[in-house]
Amino acid sequence: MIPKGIDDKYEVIRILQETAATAVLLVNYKKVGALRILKAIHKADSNANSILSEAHLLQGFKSSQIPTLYEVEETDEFFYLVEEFVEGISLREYLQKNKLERNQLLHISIELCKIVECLHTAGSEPVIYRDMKPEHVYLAGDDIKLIDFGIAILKSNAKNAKAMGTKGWAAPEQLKGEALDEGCDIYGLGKVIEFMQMNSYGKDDFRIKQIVEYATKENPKDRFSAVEEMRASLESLQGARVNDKIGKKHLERKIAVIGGGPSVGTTRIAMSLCRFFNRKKIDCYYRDIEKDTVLKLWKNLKNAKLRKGVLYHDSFQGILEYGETVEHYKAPDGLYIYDCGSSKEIPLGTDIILYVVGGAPWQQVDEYPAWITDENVYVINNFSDRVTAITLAREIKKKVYRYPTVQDSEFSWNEEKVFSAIFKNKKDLFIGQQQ
Amino acid sequence: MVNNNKNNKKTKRKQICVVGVSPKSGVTHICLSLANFIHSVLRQKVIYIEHRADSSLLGVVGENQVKIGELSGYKYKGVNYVLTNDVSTIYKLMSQTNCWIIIDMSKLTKETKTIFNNCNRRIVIGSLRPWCERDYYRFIDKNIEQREINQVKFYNINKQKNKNHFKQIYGQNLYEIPYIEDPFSLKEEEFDGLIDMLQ
Repeated sequence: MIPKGIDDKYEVIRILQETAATAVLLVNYKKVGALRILKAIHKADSNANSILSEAHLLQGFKSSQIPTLYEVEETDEFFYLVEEFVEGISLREYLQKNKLERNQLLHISIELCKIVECLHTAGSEPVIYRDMKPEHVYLAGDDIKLIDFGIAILKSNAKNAKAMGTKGWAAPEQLKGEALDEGCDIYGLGKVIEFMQMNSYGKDDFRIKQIVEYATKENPKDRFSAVEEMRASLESLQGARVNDKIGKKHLERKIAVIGGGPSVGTTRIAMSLCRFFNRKKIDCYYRDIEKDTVLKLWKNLKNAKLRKGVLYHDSFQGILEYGETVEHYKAPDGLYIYDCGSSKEIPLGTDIILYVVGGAPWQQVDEYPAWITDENVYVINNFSDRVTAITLAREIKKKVYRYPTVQDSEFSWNEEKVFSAIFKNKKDLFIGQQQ
Repeated sequence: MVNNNKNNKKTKRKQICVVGVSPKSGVTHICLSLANFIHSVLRQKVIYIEHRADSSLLGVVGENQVKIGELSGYKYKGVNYVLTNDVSTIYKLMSQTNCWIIIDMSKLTKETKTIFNNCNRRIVIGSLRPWCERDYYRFIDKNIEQREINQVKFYNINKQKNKNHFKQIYGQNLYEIPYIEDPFSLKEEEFDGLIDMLQ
């Protein structure tokens, strides 16, 4: 279906998409000889207004990463809009032939976040894009562009939006036709980054994976609260120092201590690591994501002091997780040790992982996490002998640090030796911390 | 392994009933503080029961209605609230739920006394100012059996002056009520006083 009445201005070069009532055409604008995209819809079509709403939405944005809208017209039978022809190749096409470097992946992800951020914040009210997928991301040299705003919607209209979007890319709440907010675009971004990671050399990078994981949580409330936050997480991976309001400060570093199973000594190691850094004059805080260890320490340790949400005892500093009816205390800046127990969920923004494997036969791990090969993952073998540690190192093809046997709750010199060996090449990570 | 445990902050799950010697003794204020402390600091499940004919908390906590077992209640800042004047409902909750229960009791009557006596932490709050002293003593004589007096914790809402006199009469300690500025925004310096009340 090629709309009548456009011939005097436009010459049809190619039909890109066509149905009985709609058409997307590549046209030549005769007056200046420039290629443009013409989208037309029959006035009788039930979605005829969608083209006007797309035009209305695009009109409000001045971004080189979003197609420019040239005109909106109507003939006797059709509404049509003419917009910039975006040259380049879609992300899907590109990834069919190429693999991304980690830096490329981060660059594209950050640029995409910026575009969506612009949609969410630039106009008088947020625009929800709703159609994030590799086909709509265009690579034109170093530029990244987002096309097709056919189902984009103003946030005020998103409460009663119809179920629309592409299965596999759209957020669950979007496909169910529930009320929408910016969270559905965060989900879409997460899916696109996941797709890029699968087609990249950074396939097992746990830091990218965890960003994807947070962005694509089933419940929108569990996702990043804003695209800015997601962008800040990506930028921190790029090594950029972000100093905006919500960005990760360069002094806030996270080390996650993750157990290969229960009872492998994760808590002991995480607490000792916290003591190790504090003794080295690096301000370090212990945080427990699974249990209530710091609360128990407060109840049971002699001479433990509580101040502004932090428990102080000897060289240990632990964060108490209060509920909402306790006065709010801002978490102090510093290095954070996350005791993850045997949880497989890595805290967002983790820089280094210490993976703890028990040495006893019943503590052996059947399947190691894919991220174990990452250079920022260190493997500790606890409750083990020399032979077990060597066998483990051969099995995972990676250096294994054997944790010493500890006699009491005091931090021992042997533990210090293990941590010193692990972090001897990580001085850059803590620059700015040491006094 | 060296055990350095000399700290006295251990708490066992309890059913706590707080009653005032006279109206406006600050029972609700202290009950709210305890319930919020249990939820937000000890991170444990807690049900707050307000036993009163005319609820004073409905306007504060009544926005979000929830089911607590078979009963209707409210959830506010993590604490479940049951606002009832029905003694059998309180019994039911006490026998069927396995969590902390704080009972904010308006007064002790023949009916409510059995609830009070069934709680494993019983707290009486009142003033021992000279012109209130007699009410406090009368309340004890009328409501607390001599054989159970050692299972009740007595609190004075004013600065301690006559605790020795109290001990001489009843053989029990008289404690000073901790000062809590805002039960919905607890401060760390208030924790010790609340822990003492729970132990």
